[in-house]
Amino acid sequence: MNIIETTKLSKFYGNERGIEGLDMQVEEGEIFGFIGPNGAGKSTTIRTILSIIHPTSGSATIFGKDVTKFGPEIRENVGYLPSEVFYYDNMKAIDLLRYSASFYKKPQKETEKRIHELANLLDLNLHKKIDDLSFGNRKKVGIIQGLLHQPKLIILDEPTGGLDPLIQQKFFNLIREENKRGATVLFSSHILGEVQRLCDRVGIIKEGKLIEVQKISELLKNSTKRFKLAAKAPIPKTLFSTIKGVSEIVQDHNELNFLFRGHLKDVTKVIAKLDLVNLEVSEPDLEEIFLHYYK
Amino acid sequence: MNFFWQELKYYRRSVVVWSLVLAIILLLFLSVYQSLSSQIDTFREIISRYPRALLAAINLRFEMFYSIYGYFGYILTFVWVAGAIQAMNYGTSVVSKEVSGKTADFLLSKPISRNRMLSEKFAAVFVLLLITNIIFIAVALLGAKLFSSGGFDVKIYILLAVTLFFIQLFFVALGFLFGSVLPKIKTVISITLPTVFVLFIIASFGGILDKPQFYYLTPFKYFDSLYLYQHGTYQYKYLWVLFGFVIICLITSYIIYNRKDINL
Repeated sequence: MNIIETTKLSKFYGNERGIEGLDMQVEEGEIFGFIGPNGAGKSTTIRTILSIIHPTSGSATIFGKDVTKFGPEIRENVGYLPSEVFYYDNMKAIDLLRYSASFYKKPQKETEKRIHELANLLDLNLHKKIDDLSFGNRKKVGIIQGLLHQPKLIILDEPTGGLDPLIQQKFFNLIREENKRGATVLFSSHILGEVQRLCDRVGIIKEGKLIEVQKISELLKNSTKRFKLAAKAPIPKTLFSTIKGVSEIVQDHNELNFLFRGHLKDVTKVIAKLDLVNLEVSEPDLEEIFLHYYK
Repeated sequence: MNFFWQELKYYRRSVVVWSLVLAIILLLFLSVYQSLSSQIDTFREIISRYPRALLAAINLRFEMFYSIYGYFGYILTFVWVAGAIQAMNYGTSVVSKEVSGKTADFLLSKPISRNRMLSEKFAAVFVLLLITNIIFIAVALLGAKLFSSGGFDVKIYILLAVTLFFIQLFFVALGFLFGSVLPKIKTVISITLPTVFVLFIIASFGGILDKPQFYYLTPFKYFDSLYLYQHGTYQYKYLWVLFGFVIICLITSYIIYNRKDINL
């Protein structure tokens, strides 16, 4: 079942494009990465499916229910962490979290326990005023606020900003745990490294449109690899130029560089026969793939 | 009821301060009544030399100084203005502060409908105004007991005091409308002060020009202490206008706020 499904979802702010004709499916139990640069429409999509803003056209469902009609019912099982967290400055962290918990049907005992568990894990002092918390600590309040009711769908909008690497690590583990428990996660980010670490599938959004949805593993597998070979004597170009999937062969004295896309076996068979002094195969990371889409 | 209690908590200091301010304005004015009433003839002499237009503008009439009601009715005008500012501040800020404080994202991602949020918020400010008015009426009665020479009719006196509540109802509804409809309000007072003063000026001009058709435009003309004293009741045509206005403001607020995109 699709936990989130949008159909030709569009949002315009006057004449300005937010998102346009977005068709997206997030499946149950997956961690879906939603990547794109600032202004591509990630937050607009999230805010639309949460009914904070209303679509110009198209529709969206969460848990199979229309978001404009069943908003409150849907949100009972959604945890949302906005990219910028703002809370009531004169409240203590614990008061804010209790206020947040009060909106959900979950028994107070459970949420109270969960608040303290999460605060311990993330190393947050609950008795400080929100006003006195650093940016990163406010973000922790945001994380706890989004997770305290054990939602079935967790929506994270650029969640790691302001968190130090140690807390980031703990946060990722926490998300993985929630995911194992059965929660579906929509993870929006422009930091590809973290998406690569955490997500199963990614959707790439560009100028308000979803231009590619793939498994991370596929995305990396299907991509081109760069080979750099060095031998004691010049390597004949023809050895490789006949292999299907090889391109851009450049010979420089005893070195040979080329791009390859296909079954690695085809290349390694040939390489095995050579007397090499050096071999370099560079894995493209998500960043390179991403740049490819944004060219 | 989370919003309701949250808002009561949020405004608890403010409601104490406002109640005190209104009570102090009232007691200060009432405390001079005794000395005024003992010199009523001199006072009449003085104000009879004032131009009629000026007297109309400041809503001053001779009859007022014959009794504590008249005097109370007169000073009520000032209490109304202060009370209007309080009520409109509450009405506007109770909705708009979630956007100006950027907390709307947090609230609207919770499993509640916007209707419930608005209803609880309005209920909260309504209760705050009730509290203000209960304190005000108590202080007013106490003041009358202390400062009036001779007895007074408690019923008329209370009817007079309750006008503050009606005026506040008008302004809290107007503020609620502004708070729900306007996209972003940085400072509430920059909306409420001009609104209250414009309506007050319209009331003054209506008085100077003696054009009763203007009276419908501004709640400051809906209650006439002299009429109330003579008839022992309100002028219902104005009261209906007031209630109608409040209901229209609320309905419009709900409709528009539900359709609105909340952008921080």
